[in-house]
Amino acid sequence: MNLWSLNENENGMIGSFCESMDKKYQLRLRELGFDDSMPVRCLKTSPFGGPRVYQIGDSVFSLTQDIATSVFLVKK
Amino acid sequence: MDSILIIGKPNSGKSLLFNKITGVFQKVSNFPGVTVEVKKAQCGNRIFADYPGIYSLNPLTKDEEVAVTKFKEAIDDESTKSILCVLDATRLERSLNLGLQIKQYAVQHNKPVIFALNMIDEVQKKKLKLDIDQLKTELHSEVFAVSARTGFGIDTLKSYLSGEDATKYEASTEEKKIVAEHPGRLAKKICEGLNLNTEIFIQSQNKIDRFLLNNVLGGIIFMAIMLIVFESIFTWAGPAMDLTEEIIVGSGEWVASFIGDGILKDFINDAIFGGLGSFLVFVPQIFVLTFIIGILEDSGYLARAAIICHKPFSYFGLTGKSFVPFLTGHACAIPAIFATRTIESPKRRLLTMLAVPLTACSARLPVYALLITAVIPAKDILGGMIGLQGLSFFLLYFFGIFMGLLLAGVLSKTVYKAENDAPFVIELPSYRLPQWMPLLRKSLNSSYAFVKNAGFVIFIVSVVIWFLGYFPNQGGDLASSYLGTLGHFIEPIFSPLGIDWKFGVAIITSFLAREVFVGTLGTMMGIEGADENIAGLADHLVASGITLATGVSLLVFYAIAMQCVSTLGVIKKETGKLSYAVSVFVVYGILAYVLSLAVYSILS
Repeated sequence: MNLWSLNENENGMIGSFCESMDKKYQLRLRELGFDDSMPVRCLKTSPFGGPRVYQIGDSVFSLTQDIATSVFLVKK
Repeated sequence: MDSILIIGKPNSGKSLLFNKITGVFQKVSNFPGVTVEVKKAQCGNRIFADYPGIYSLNPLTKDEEVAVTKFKEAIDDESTKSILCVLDATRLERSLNLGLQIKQYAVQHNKPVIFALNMIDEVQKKKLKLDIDQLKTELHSEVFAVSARTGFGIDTLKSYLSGEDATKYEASTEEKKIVAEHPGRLAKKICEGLNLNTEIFIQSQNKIDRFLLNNVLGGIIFMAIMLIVFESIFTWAGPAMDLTEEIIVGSGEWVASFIGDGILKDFINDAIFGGLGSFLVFVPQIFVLTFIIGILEDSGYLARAAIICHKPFSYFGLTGKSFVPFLTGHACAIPAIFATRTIESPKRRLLTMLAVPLTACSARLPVYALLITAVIPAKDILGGMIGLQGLSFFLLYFFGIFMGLLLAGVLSKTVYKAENDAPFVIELPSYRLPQWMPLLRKSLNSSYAFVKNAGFVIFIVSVVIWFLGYFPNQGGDLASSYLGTLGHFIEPIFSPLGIDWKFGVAIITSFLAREVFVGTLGTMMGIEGADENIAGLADHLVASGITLATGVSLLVFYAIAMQCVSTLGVIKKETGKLSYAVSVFVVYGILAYVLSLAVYSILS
């Protein structure tokens, strides 16, 4: 299960990143709060595969499908 | 003089705090090829340097890399005595992540970090408790609760920063321990200890987002806001542009009145006031656009707008933030290129910059109006619902957008395919009312930067074109000038499009600004005031035998060719490379010629 698979108002917990994702991007996402075991909530999905909106910690971010599918979730 | 560096994450209110501390006078330094700006200002016995907002000391984009490198170099500078790190009290954990990275770096370089806990007024308004002393203990640094918006705590902070305590420093053992910690985890631990409920801020933001990002309503609001932006560039800037033009013309006449007739008078009137005037007239537009975009950015809406239109633009290698430049480009490519500064991804910013000059700017309109009036019949179609000439205008607008997107799409999949790109991750900041004075200052700075950076190139080209049109007959008949000779020389190039040397001369002079095409053609054909008498000139063109094929091929040529020295000057300035401006001129010129030749061949 990855971040993109969360529906609107669904919660998840950040697990790991796809190995193929550039390490620089992995580091940046971690710095933004997409770090191990952090609870995440999908606030908004968009039609036609547009960017989705996620709340993580005290911040809200919008991510495109290519990035969100590379962030794996773990079961609570 | 001792310096204090100001740093913080984007939307932390850093620049507003800098303004509150230092007052009005600032010096802005740019670094070539990027949008990185460092603002410096003196306050008392200290110089404050405001660095661009960053998310991390590990850069992703070229802009970030330059900003971080310059910041790190400044820390090592002997004159730097301390670092003021701005934290957003409403998003403390995220702010602390960067704050702790900075603290770690500063401790290693034996420089003190002072934290300004900004937006404390919002925390107080929600009646939340934040233990500043505990935060001080955790960070082993001075922490000042401030509100740059209301001015709360600013005097205390200023007083501390101007004193000796802000510069005396020796890293303690506890501080050195922080260096070994993971900044993200430590930030989380500190925030858990403070027990600050920031969820309350997110909830209010989400309530507004439910409207502004709604799949239907969000789109309607977006279109309405963009309509206002577009209208502002045309309508609000219009009177100021007219006034600027009148001042320039008036000044030219005034200066010329002190000089006797001759070359000097003509040079000052035509080359200096005429040439530079055609470029300075855009300054009010730059000011208005920067101001409007600033409102959108400061209010937090720009990030939402980028999300709304990201998907369609992404098909062409662009980003949601390309929309504003595309829209602005329909008024003028110069402010549109400036508007690309909001795009973080260097690749997508460059692609947007290369694509927007193809949108149908207002300078193209007189050319379109003349040629459409001359070759497209004034008759209604679809049962009188639309005129053929109006439809032609619409198709030219559509053609410009189509060509811009097509070019961006092709370039992103070919020339710039391998370019590393930043992922589309946008933080949605809290909604806030913009601060007007800093916004005005920012708009003035942008306008000044436009004049300072693009003015020289445009001046040189203006002088060269004036020289070619003035000599050897001392401003007599344009036909017998070097420009006329050049028109005859390049006639074989344009004759396959069915046009003679007069059009060639008009095309060359319109390199200053596209609308000059109409005036020059009027002069060549003996029609005074052709700019205001387009119908008269169009009649003359019809009488001289201009065909549909020639007219349409010229329309296609003007829709694509980069006939605007000001735009090229700004591309050179914003990319930091002359090669981009030259490539745009050459490639668009060749493309324009080939396509217009193809159109001419088909229609004739």
